[in-house]
Amino acid sequence: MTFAAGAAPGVWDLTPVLARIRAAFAGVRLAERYHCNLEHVAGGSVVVVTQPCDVAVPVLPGREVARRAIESRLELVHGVGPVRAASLRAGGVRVVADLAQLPDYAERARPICEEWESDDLVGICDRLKARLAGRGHLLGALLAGCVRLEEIAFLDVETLGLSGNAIFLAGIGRFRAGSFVVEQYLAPGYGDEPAMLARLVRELIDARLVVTYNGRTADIPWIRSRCFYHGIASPPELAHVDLVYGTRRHFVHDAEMIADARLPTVQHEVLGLSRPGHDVPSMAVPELYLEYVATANEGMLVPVIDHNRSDLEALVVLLARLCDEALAACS
Amino acid sequence: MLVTGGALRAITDAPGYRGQIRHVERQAGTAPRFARTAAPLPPGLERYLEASGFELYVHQARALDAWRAGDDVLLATRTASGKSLAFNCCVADVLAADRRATALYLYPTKALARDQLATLAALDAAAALDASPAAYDGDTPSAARAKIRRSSRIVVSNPYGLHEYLAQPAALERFLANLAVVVLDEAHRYRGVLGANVALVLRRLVRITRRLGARPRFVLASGTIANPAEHGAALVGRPVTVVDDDGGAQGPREVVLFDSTLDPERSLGLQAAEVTAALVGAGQSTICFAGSRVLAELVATWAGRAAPGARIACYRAGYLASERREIEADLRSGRLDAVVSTNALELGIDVGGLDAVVMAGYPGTVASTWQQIGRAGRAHRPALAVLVTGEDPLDSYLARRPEVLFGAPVERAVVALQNESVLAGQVLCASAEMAVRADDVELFGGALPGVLAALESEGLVARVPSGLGFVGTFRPASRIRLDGRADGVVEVRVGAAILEVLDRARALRQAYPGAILLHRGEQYRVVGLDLESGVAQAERCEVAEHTRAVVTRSYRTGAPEQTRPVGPWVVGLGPAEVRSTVTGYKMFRADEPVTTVPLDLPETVLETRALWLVPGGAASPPELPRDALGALHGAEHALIHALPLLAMCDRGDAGGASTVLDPARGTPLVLLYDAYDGGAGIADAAYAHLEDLVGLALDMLDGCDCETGCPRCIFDRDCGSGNADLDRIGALAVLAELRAR
Repeated sequence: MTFAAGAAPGVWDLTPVLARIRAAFAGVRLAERYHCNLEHVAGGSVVVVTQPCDVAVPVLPGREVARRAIESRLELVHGVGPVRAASLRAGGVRVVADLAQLPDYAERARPICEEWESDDLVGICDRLKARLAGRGHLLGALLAGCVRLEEIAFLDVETLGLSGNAIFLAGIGRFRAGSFVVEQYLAPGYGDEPAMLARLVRELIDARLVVTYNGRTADIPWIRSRCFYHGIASPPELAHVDLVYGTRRHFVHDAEMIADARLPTVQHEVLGLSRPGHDVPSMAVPELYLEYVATANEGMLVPVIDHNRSDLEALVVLLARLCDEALAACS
Repeated sequence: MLVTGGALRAITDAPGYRGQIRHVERQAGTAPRFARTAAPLPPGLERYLEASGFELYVHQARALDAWRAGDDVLLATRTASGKSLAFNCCVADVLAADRRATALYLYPTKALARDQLATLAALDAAAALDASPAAYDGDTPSAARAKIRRSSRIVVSNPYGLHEYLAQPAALERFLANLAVVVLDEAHRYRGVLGANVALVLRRLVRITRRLGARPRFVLASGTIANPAEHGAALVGRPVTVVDDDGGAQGPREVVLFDSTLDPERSLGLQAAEVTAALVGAGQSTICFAGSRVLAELVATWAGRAAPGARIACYRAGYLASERREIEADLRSGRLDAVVSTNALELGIDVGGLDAVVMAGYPGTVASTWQQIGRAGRAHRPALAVLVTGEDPLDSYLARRPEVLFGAPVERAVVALQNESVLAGQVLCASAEMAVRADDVELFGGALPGVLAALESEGLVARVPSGLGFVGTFRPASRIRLDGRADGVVEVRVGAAILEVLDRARALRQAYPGAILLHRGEQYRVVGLDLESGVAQAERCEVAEHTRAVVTRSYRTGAPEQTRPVGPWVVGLGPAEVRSTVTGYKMFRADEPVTTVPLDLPETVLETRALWLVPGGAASPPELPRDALGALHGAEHALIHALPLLAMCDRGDAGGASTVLDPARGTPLVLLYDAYDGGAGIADAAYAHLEDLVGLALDMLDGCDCETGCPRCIFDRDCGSGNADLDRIGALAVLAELRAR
């Protein structure tokens, strides 16, 4: 019986990539290259890699600015379409809170105001998605202005390929005392995935907003599915801003600055950022981990760890940029 | 011959009639038998039944009683006897009692599943179940899926879809954690390797639901088969209560066996077209079933020519339920006179619509034949069904022995649960859903530890805290095909239309470039075979030549797992390896070889399960006739031809070999093997029921009126030696000895 057929036709040949990484990093110990801690969590081991990053503190809009910008989209109110919104605006209605004063709309507009008053970020998030589709996601970036910078968790996971397969590394970037610190949780063996997930879940407990790139269909359900697989508690329900939608809407469709919304394209062509010199294509990531498990050559993980950190750094810059674009679009 | 109806007279009065009718079976109608359930039904369900004017038949009431007693139930009653109503009532009973409970319906096709939605919506509304019935399959828009996962309590799907969706159990958590009922309709269709895969998909489903705290029960519906209890238990992994006391009404009907070989001048398809035309001429709304789309198109054309002015449509797979309903309504209203269809209309058309059914060739199984016959019959008018048989051992046998069709069911639905490569594939899929643990042996069987060890040594699963988890980089479910055709299939196409779908090994034997392919009496020349894309391109031709593949074949049997004496022979059962290569083909004109063309085609290697016969057992060795090879070879063919009647398989699902001198043993040997890697359960069934198989084979050979053997008895179109060295009389002697105990 054999199920592990070789690479499907049309898929990149990864052999030269793996050879290059082997040559560059053979014998490299993670503990020598990074600040590493081995933690024991829930019956397994997790390697915690801590990397301070050289990322400027982003300038995000304040809470009131963000709220006003979001609420200026009267279409958030159920039953208000673009045409109605335009005529309301012409009649002097500026924000949803104004609508809450009008008898015809009060009943539908008030829950939105209540979401703001009770700081129900999850509710606001869902409403943006449901009512405004792609444009809602661009506005969603502004939610980052509604929490303290320290309460935002930038998240990206590395996996064995296809949706539902094992996750072996989760990176979380947080601002601590004014500087951006990336913590990465690595499962040193297949059996350590539940420990790694448990460590990740613990880290998310005091976060209020998660920022990802394509996490709505990938990272978040994937984490939940792997927690389910191992029978451990899933992360709490958090407000979530997935930057891929706003990026696609604004930079690909509206501004036509880039041809696709892949993160490396965005980093390079929109944000002017460069990736690590030893960066690898995403599809090589599972192969690097498999080789690390098979050979215990920790060097194979260097490109993965740096790839993951680079993505998280990009998220910070991209978030600030999308906030600017969202404010511009609202004014 | 007594001819009652004008319809039958239309056939015998037709100018082309040559006395091909061999048998007319008259079945008087039966009155319905009704019954009440032992305990009252929930009020909502009562309301539904009352409003729809349904009174429960005996089998429906008994099925509900067994279900409400906590059993898993299998309904094995005729086509159109109201099985759907029975299982819908079981579902409604559970969903009414538990407002969170969910039900999953599995149908063999998406079209059949969607056909049920209107009925289920009516039931949902009338019984106030608040179940939002919905179809969840490849055609469900992704926007609708989240809502179905969140709120539907009745979901209709198919096993192929379930196989994929189980890979993400977290997404289906609400539905699975409350799963109370699984309905599996058309259960007799899940046989062989497909049956084993479906059985194991159901084990995967049960495993996940258990972890979520649910204990779903099964209600199955099947056509009439010889072994409903065994089949149901194989599919769901535990005993089922069989309900087969059919209380449904049945109108009177006549079933006609029409032997096209009695008119050797004209092909089976042409004669089926003429029968159809004659019935249309007599004002009968008629459906004609043909084995393939290409044949259906030809028969439609010919029937149109034979009945000028008649409105005859051709129908094939891929039509929507609404289109099918429209065709049927057109037939009933007279806007259409006849439809010629592939077996796509065999299932799912509204019943009781048409006057007559014509079958252009035996559909392959008795169950399928009855399913097609069941498409005819209006209230108070006798229905007519005509089975046009051809020059083929099974067709000829049925023409001679109608009681096989009309007596108690002989076909056994077999499931290849012995197939370890099927098990390995399914366990791999399971390991990606939830880690596999030692106690899963209860669901997956005793072979589980060995399979897990093999998967672990291949690096596909590894220890995680909860058991053995999948650690590959691919998605197992997308690599495992439920029909077991891992190498893929080859479609023989004429233009864009599909003539036949063959597995790779058969395609190499039958659809090599240059082959003259005979399909239901029509000739096609294969002009190209592309194994990569799985297409053999063919064109219709009318030539005096025929071709035959030159095959070199070798086999090796493994250590027998079981043996027992049968007369002067010993039968063994175990693993076998069969290697074959098509090295070329011979072209014949008027049975004289004209030329031999070499071909360069890849070897096929089959690791499978087999049954073999070698001398032994009784004190005296078997008495082989002078032409020992012809006798053994003939017996091998006869046994292979009888297999579909015993094990409900297709012709190509099994193969055979025979020799007077087996190199490993130095004795004669007859081998029957499953044409699937890992086995399809056919050899296993043949071993268990060898006496029945031998009886059928004897009967098939005995009744033929030829001398040494002919296409109607022991010729086989797959024969590697081109039906050379065949001796019918000698084969009869060998089989008779097998029967003497």
